Order: sequence, then structure tokens, then C-alpha cells
Amino acid sequence: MRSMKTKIAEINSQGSRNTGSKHWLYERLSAFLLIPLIIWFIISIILMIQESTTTPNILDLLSSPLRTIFILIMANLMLYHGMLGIFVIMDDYIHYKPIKIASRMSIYIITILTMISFTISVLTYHFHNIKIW
Amino acid sequence: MKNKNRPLSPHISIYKWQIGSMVTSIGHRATGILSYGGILLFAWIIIINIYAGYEKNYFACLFKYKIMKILFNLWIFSLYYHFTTGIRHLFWDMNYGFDIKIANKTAIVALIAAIILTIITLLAI
Repeated sequence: MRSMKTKIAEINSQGSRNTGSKHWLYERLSAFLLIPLIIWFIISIILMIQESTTTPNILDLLSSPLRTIFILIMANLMLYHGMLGIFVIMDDYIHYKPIKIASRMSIYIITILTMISFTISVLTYHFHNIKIW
Repeated sequence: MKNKNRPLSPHISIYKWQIGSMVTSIGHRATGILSYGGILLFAWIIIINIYAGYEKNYFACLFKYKIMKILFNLWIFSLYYHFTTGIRHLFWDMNYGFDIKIANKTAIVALIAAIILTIITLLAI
């Protein structure tokens, strides 16, 4: 499957650099995948707080490999879905081209930085539990 | 490129605030922005907690201030409201629930579900 568009849509859009349908599809796809992940997250937090006797540590969220995997997928998908949504809002309200490009780039950089940092930090904590300084 | 300063057509200032269309739409957009900002903060708090405070508990220390509790509750409610209203949007994408009466009812159901989920989460925490 080379592309998600129909053949006529692919041909008609070959001159333009704007990809709108991919954005729409990924927004719906990440939203659909996030529904069970959020339900799992809520139930997991409630169970975790109820079964811990002392004050619960936030890093108990990463105590087992299953929780780590789900938290990683959920956080990255949430950030990606949020980034796509902010792009839609910017398309509605910003029309001056330099500010549009600058703000789209800033949101993109902030989101990608947060995704990479979060993934690497969580994986470091899970596998080594090391002190950095 | 010249700055084309053309105004937006009025949508909030003149339209009647109906529960099914205006409140849900503006609420979905606003809670989306709030949720995104909150997720960025939350992710960085977890990162800082991993590297600087995993023996102590910096996250629980934040909750001694009243304003952090209020902001946290607001963020939880905006997440849940965006969640239920988003499910409504996904049903629209599958061609269900376009009729005005049904759309108004699902809007109220979404709001009540968000409030119930918030109360459950805040009672458990």
C-alpha cells in the first residue's frame, strides 16, 4: 500500500505541497488508539493509589514492564495528537505566513523534544535505575 | 508577502449559545489546548522526577499548594471533557448522530460523563 489516498486523489494532489488528508487520518487514528489507553490509565491510577499504603510515588506508574509500555505509547500518542490539533487551531487563526511558519515549527520542535526526552528517560529508569548526578 | 489583515467572520459574538453546537465545539477546542499544555507539563515533571528526585517525591510536594490542586483538577476535567466530546466526533465521522435532537442529547451525555469521571478520579486521589 503506497499511499492512503485513492488514485484520483493522488493524481489531483501531485502539484500541491499541502497534505491535508494525512493529517486528518492520523488525528482520527491516534484518537481511536487513545480511547482504550486512557481507560486503562485511569483504572491503573485508581488501583495503584488504593493498593499503596504510604504516599504513592509518581514513578510507581513505571514499576512493571507492562505499565512502562502503555505509558510510553499513551504519552507519545497524546503528544502527537495534541500537536496535530494545535496545528488545526493555528490554521484557523494565523494567516500571516512568517508567523504561521514560525509557530508551526516551534510547536513541532517542542513536541518532538518532549517525546524523545520522555521516552529516553522512562527507558533509562526502567532498565538501569541509574543516578545521573 | 503582504499582511492581509482580513477579519474573521463573527462566530462567538453573535451566535446563540446552544449546548449542542457552540458550547461543545468551543469547549472541545479550549479543553484540547488546556490538555496539551498540561500533558507537556506532566511529561516534564515526570522527567525531572526521574533524574532529580526519585528518592524523594517531588510530585507529591507540589500538591501542598492550593493552586496546584485547582490547576490539576482543571486539567483532569479538560482531559475527560475532550475525551467524551472526541468520542462524539468519532461517531460523527462514522455517520451516526447527525440529527439535531440526537446531537443535543449526546452533548449533554458527554458533559455529564465528563463530570462523573472527574468526580471519580478526584475522590480516588
